[in-house]
Amino acid sequence: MERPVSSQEARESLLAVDQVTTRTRRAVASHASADLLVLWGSIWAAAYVATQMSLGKPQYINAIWFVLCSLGGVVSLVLGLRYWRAGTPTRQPKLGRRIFAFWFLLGVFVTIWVFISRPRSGIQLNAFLVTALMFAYMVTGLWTGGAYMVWLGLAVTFATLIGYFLMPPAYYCLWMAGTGGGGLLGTGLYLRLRWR
Amino acid sequence: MPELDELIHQPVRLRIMACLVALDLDEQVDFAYLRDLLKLSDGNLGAHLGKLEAAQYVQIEKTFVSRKPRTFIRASGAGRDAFGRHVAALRQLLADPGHTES
Repeated sequence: MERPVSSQEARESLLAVDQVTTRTRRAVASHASADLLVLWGSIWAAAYVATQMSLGKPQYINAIWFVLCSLGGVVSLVLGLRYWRAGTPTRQPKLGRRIFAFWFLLGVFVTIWVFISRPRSGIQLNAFLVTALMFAYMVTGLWTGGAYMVWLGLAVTFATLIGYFLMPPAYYCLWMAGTGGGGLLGTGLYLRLRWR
Repeated sequence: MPELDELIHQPVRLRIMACLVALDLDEQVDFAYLRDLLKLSDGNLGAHLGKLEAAQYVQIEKTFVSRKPRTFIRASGAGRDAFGRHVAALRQLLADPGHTES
């Protein structure tokens, strides 16, 4: 390069690089995940609170989770379709396929493991499913560079372990409504406010 | 010692390359999204992308999504290498005690 570059110019260039790098990663990472976190955080919180209010009535509890998770699945599909129509900001065909395959395989294996291990209680089944989901969420975060996914996964896993091993079973659902549902919801709201 | 790259050093192209290199290796970004993210006009972004493409620093793919024309851009391997060398040169320049403010 023929023109001399001053230290000030070099400093400003590096600052611009850092700013654009941060803004890009945040903007891309927050595109769809914030809405999905708000949705599933709300569903988890509602399902846990409803379960707490229905303790001793297992037929209601199964129905609550089935209805709310089905609702979450439908809304997620609608959101995904909306994002697809509006056009995603980035495409990463190979990684997208790998992440989809990973979640699909995890779903299959978790189902197998549930049938093999036959959890003794609803709380045990719930703690197992939540930690398995958070494991997948953290792996996805490591692949996509979403550090917040790794930290959220760790925090919810830690809260689940506290709830399962240390909390009285009668308060497990309330605890998980606040930490699990609240954690997802809070992170989703934070992403929406901070990164948009 | 890495050398500064005159093509990349231009402020707009530096920001374009920083954005593209921040993405993963096989990740492409939509033209309109890149334009909005960097707060550029269509013409300005297109002109700078043309220069980067001529130097084979970026790859531009025009395609159709839901029957609408879309343009996706990604940094090439050569572009990533050149950007890495340029940033290393900037850092070295700042670390050099013999370099004076001008």
